[in-house]
Amino acid sequence: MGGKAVLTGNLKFTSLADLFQIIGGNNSTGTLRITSQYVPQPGIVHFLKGNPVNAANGPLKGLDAVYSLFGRTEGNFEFSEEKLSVEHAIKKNRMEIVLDALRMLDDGVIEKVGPTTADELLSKKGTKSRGRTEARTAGDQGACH
Amino acid sequence: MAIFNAKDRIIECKLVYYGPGRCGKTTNLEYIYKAFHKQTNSEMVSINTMGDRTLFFDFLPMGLGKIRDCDVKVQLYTVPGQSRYRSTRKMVLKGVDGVVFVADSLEIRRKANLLSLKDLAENLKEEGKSIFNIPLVLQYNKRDLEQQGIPILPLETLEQDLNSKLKVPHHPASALKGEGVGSTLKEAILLTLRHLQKELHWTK
Repeated sequence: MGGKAVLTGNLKFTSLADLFQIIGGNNSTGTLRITSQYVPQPGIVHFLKGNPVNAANGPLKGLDAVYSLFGRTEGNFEFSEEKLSVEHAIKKNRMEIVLDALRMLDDGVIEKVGPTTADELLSKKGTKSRGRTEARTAGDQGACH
Repeated sequence: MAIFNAKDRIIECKLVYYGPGRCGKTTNLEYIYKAFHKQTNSEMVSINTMGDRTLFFDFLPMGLGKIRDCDVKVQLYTVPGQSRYRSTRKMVLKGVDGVVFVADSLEIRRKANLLSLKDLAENLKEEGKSIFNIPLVLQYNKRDLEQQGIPILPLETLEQDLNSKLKVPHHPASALKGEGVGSTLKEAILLTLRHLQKELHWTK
């Protein structure tokens, strides 16, 4: 842990889907940390030679944690190159994860964590798009674990 | 925009198959994946998006040679047409280098083709691209259905409907049988690389 940060930025500019492809294309090994003002703890994804092998987001671990992180549309990220000593809990193909996560986001299966737009508020019926208050509740639940 | 991977000396470009639901986009890609298996180096990713599937795999066109001493890798995607899949569509169309528009020859899908093409133009615009500038190939799929007595649109009608302004290359096809699939792909890759060559001032 605590490797050198080699890539940092804002999720608004570089999305998690982009990051997966950049880290993947470079065959990089290390840890991606995602911080957001809407969630107290950072989300973490470990990459081995460009492929995600484990992750954590609040109470969630492994693939579920990766999927949940796609709900974060705002926040900062930092990728550090470092040797990993984590369990390889994720076996799924990198692009399959990205495309599946985006589908789930559009299907409303993954909770969006971030500011709620007026459009989303108005069309909130039947969608699971979450705003600031609910996101904070979800984060607080995570902190209890 | 193609990605130039200097470390591995690979030029990666993105080719997207677009078209109305059940027009045969996935059938095209499935056929390519099976028929040209030696030219693929990744698994085919298949995501069940409601009413349609989203597919992805890497394709390594053989016989193209190298460009500027780099190998060429083509990422092939289909994109879900349904409006709800905005995030997927955005990610797939981001940095797209070339498009194959698969039109359904079935008479009853005439309007669906027009709507989907309009939709493509709008989605490309959102990505800062114009349908008139991007390398584009039209494929008129399901030509074989005529033999089964199913009413299909004459090629002239499809040309008139979809290609009168665009004036891009078109290929009749029967993706289920694999007819026209290879020629469509080949032309799309060629157009895409030619476009990149021009854009980036590459010389042969």
